[in-house]
Amino acid sequence: MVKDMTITGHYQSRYLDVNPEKSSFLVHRDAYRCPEVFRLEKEKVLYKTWIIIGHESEIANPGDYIARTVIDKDLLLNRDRNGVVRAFFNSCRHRGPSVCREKSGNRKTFVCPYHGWVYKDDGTLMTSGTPESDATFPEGFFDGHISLMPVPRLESCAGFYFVNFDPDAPGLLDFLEDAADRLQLIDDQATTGMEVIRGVHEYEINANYKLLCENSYDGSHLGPVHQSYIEYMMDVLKGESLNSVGLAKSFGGGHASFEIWVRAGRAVAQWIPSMGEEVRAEVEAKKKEVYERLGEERGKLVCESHRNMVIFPNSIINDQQSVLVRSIIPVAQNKMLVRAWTLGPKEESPALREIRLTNMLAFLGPGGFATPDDVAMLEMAQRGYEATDIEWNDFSKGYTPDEKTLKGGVSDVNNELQMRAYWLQWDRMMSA
Amino acid sequence: MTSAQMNRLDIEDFLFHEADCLDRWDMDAWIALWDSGDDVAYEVTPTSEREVSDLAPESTMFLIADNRYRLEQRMIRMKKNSFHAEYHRSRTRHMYGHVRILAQTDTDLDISFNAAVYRTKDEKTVVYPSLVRAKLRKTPQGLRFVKKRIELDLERLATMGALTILL
Repeated sequence: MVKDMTITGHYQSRYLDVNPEKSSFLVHRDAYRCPEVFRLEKEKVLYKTWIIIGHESEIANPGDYIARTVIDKDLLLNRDRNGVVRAFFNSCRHRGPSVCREKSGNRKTFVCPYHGWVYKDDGTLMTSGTPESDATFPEGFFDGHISLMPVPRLESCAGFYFVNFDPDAPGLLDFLEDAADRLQLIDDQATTGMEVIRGVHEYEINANYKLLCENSYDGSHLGPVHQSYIEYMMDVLKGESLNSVGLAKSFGGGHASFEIWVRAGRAVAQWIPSMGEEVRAEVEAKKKEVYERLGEERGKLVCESHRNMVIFPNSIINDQQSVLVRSIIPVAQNKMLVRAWTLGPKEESPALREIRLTNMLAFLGPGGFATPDDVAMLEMAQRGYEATDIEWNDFSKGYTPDEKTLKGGVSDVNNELQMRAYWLQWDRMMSA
Repeated sequence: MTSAQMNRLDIEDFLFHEADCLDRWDMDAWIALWDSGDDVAYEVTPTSEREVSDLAPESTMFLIADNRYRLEQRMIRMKKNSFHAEYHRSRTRHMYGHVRILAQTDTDLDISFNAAVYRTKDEKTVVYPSLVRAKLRKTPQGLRFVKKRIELDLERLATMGALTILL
């Protein structure tokens, strides 16, 4: 059982075998490879947790909308003419087609292309196309009681909009626990707000989606997998130290992060020589502004640390040279679609924006110097689960019987506290 | 400096040689086909956008946006055993067609061509269809790339999610 965020006694379920006295934490590979587990996981985890759908800057003005898939559902997120933000299932109530074929835009109505039903931007059905057609429907059909189907829950935190398909789920802030403050650290980078930068990386990985979550805040894979990237960074930094110290932290609810203190440069706001003299003044002024606004301690956290966080169960936020959000669509037990998008302060200069993007691209993304090697490892791991009879994965690194695994835990970044926090929450929901 | 006017056959000879270097994974020979100037750019546009002609990597997140330095570093990485994503290496076939000379001066050429790059790895084959826009420079050693911009027709990177070959 879990007492005071710490596992007490030998705990066994279908998915976990945790023995604190032996410092052993094992996860069954069926959690990655079994189609039946994936089906169950949708019902018990993915449809019951808060999933990021987008950012407020994408629907800044009345009429703005985005159409996006979350988990396996096609959704519309819009700001109606009165400024109210809404989320709907993107399907006509009449016979099914999507009422919006663009990925984003601005409109006051959504029209189904099949039979011409017209919905107002608050979702209500206005007309079937013409007064003659409307007259053939039952009395009161267009009085506003029919609407695009709203997504059961929609809430926001620090500019990020989340949806939840469970009407009875606890609120977003209760769900996020201490991760909410980590999201706020991103919003704190800007005085005029953060904005989504154009261009999205969309790529498939033939592996279970949880493998990418694990990989994103796994400290001990950096040396073996990213040797060639580290050698590149050494060349970029030209003698500056790449020495880092880092801590893994658990925030409750399965959310966790690693935080690394390394002088690798950040657009907000850590200037290093390789960024170039031309942006030095802007970065240093930004740092001063952040420190004055947030105080020394929090300012330092925003400007000087590099942080990868997983918001349970499928949202990854890399807060480094830039802010990269990876929203994962779990397609099958052995396949995911990654949708990675990036954010920067609205007030950022074009010169610094360019540096933000090129520095990040060198590391992250399917054409970068690091992400492709992660993808290779994930796909090899998945193959290992499916093509051998081995049952258990080991997450014991750095595990001690008194570890506050679920919340408030702090460990060296090269340990596996962050994954243990994830798996404990996952098991709680799956075993419920 | 060769200032003579060049025709499509001259350009095709150069491009077919470039494709051959890539398909043989001869990275040293390939990088030698690039100009040494500061204005060198190798770009792959993001698959999320339908209209890419006005997009620039300074303000849009591309898939790849290398300058001369990063392109050299990419070559170094591509030759390492620690380049896990290409262990084993993909086999590629670069098919180029519809080559056009859009503009020509004494020193430079703007060209475009269609490309279909076949990539085979781990028992799968994918195709990368694209329009390539390039700037070539006439040098005493022959033609050199100043810019190669691959405008991908794909809507996402499917099947092989990491773009670890050169297009």
